Amino acid sequence: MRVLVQQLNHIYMPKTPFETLALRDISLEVPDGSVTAVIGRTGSGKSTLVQHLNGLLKPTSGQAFVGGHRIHSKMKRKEISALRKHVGMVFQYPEHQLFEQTVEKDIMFGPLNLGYASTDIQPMLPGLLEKVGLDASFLPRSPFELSGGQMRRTAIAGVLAMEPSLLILDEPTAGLDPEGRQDMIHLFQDWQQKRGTTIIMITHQMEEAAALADHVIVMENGTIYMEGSPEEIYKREAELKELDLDLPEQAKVLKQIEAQTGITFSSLSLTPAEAVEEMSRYQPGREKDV
Amino acid sequence: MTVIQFKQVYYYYNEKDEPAAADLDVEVKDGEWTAVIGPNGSGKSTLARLCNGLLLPSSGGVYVHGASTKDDAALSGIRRRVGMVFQNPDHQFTAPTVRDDIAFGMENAGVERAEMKQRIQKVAEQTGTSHLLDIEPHRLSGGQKQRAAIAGVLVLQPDIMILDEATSMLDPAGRKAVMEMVRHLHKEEGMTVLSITHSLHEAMEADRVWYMEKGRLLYDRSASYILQHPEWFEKLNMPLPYSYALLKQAQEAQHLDPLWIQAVREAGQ
Amino acid sequence: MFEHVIVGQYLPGHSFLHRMDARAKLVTVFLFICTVFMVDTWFGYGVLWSTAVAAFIISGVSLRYMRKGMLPVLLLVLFTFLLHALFTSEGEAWISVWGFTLHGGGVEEGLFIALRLLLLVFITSLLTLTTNPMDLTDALEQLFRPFQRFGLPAHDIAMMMSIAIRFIPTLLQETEKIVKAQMSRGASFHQGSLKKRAQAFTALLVPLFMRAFKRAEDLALAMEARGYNSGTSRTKLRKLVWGWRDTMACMFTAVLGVFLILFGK
Repeated sequence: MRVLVQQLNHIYMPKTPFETLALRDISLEVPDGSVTAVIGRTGSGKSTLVQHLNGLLKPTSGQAFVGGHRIHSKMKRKEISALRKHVGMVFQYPEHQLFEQTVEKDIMFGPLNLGYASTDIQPMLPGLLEKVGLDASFLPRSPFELSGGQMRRTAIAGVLAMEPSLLILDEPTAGLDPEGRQDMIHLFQDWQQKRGTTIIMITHQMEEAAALADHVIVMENGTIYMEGSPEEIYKREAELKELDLDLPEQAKVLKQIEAQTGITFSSLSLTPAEAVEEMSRYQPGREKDV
Repeated sequence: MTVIQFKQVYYYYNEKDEPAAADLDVEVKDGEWTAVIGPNGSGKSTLARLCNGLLLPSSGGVYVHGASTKDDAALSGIRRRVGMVFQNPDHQFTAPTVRDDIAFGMENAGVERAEMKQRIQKVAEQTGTSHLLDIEPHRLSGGQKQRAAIAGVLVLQPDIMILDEATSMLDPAGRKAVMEMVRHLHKEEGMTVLSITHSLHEAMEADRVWYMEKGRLLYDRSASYILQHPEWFEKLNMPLPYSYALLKQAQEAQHLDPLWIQAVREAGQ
Repeated sequence: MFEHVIVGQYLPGHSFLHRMDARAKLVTVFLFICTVFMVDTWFGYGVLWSTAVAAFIISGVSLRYMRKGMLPVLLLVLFTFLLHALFTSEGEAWISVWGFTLHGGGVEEGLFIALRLLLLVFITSLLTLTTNPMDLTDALEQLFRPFQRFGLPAHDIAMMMSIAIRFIPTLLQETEKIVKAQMSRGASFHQGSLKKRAQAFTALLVPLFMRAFKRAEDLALAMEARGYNSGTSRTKLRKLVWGWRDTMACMFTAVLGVFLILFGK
């Protein structure tokens, strides 16, 4: 689903001493079927922005479109419910939202709310669980007996079961160990490639942005500070540093080699093998200095 | 000098289950920074909690400066000497303001009011929390919360600080700030540190690295040793840092100009 | 979502009320409330309300905060008023709609009860708005200490209160988060059948409880690690100091109470 945001402003806690302009004049476009990463410091407005896209927050002014749904300041409840049918949202620490007695019931909560019959959903569940790295044996188990990682997968399955056309991920890997992180990214990558779901992902990890996204938005202070492909964003290392954002390890190393030798890699997210392959095609430029 | 000594420690949460800690026979030396790594459920947190008597060994003994954690009379002293910071910054505040929370441990230890005030001042400067003292914890960022929590531990003047995944829930800025603080405490003030972590970078900053699996401490190596023997990353279940992977690839590649290998090696440092 | 809730929110300041000892404030409020319950004349209420408003002006708390604190109970007050106004058939009948007859006496009684309720909320809000919660719990602990010999765990109660105050905002933040997560999964708290709404609330309450248990567990561990032991003697960072203000305020309230009870009829 295509997402279009136009001059969106959001005032947080209006008419109180805490009033703040949380988003100012945001405009952006996310093409259908693409993956966009939103990065930026805590409090830069990332979560506020994406919560507009399923009507959890209404803009103070401006508007947004998700597919054919228009999001505006005077949205009606009915319009919001219609919108939510198409937008899935995975919150930070999604395992905190588990509540049912069994994994099966918990996953079905969303689809049932959308009006699907349980006989329609049940046959899909084993396949869905497999996609998130679990299997059908988990269905009758209590979600509260699972390990942290399994709980998170269950919660994510509960969102994916609604088959959203736009999937919003708010730091889906927070608090996981490196392996869990990688698995999680693969899970979404796989889902995206098979279904063509549009994904918007908030992350603090440049690596994740680079691995998954074809477009990166950097937010600061309620505005869009930079925008572009991961490559373009990496080029602005100094500015990123000011926002407490670090380049991924590989980009740092490759950049260093570029600086030393005068080579320009085709990308800063090359695997070691790819990087060596590119190097072998050139002479190291050190001689240039002589 | 040894600060904490584990002697043949076993710990069972449940008698029927496998031990959460098994055959631990190791010591933490004064002024050393030890990082504990290992997969989830490998017993890292159990090990941490055994250090200050939050858990008592099912068999064997844990000794802090020679006193057993099983000795009731020594326990409050042990808890004061072994400070502990937990994973969730939100779940360790007891009081409605940072100042009152920092005082909490001292109140428990019966410190006099005048001294409390002095120590709060000092520890707030040390941890960069002076401007946060009168703020309610829920208004702080994750990094600020964790620094305030560390202040509440440091104020008891411990000999050793245990960080139980203390940075895993923080954003990069918060992580950086907390790590900087720990680094400073260790380097400048000689604090003994035991940090449980999933982060390769954090682990490599330590002097020693302990690797745990299934409750057992499998390897005990210095960080510099691991960095010189990258094949150890695999043994420790850690991803090979990119610079090493690249160097390895470059060395294996045929017909690659040695100058490239040189460049890769330099970039890695 | 819950930004507007102010439960026991403290506004720092330097007014007479702010500088009073928390114990004195508790005693004063206690005496005041006793008086409120014993006085039942318009004259008495006039005096009590004037005193309360005067105290409010002295406190320097802005009207906005007071209003915010009182707003949630307004509905309750209105409801109580209607209940009394509609179902008391004293005095002359004024008007009659849909079989309900509004009597003069009923309206008067309703107004009276409403004013009493409002006064109670007003004065307790004033207490929490001008008193640091830590001081308040310390004061409670000290005032209850004499009852300790009868088995009242004064210290534990105070500790629990201070922890509760500390965690209310966290709880609200968490509630907001879970509400949002479940709404994203199509849960409807505001519309739909009763069954659907009940389910939505289960989807909110279960996670909240699970988190609360987890938090309690973590917190207990963190407290233990910092040497907390409920029985042992502890020192306190904060010191409550009883001064001339406090004696004066207590005396004033006591005299006011006695005066109103004796001559307010």
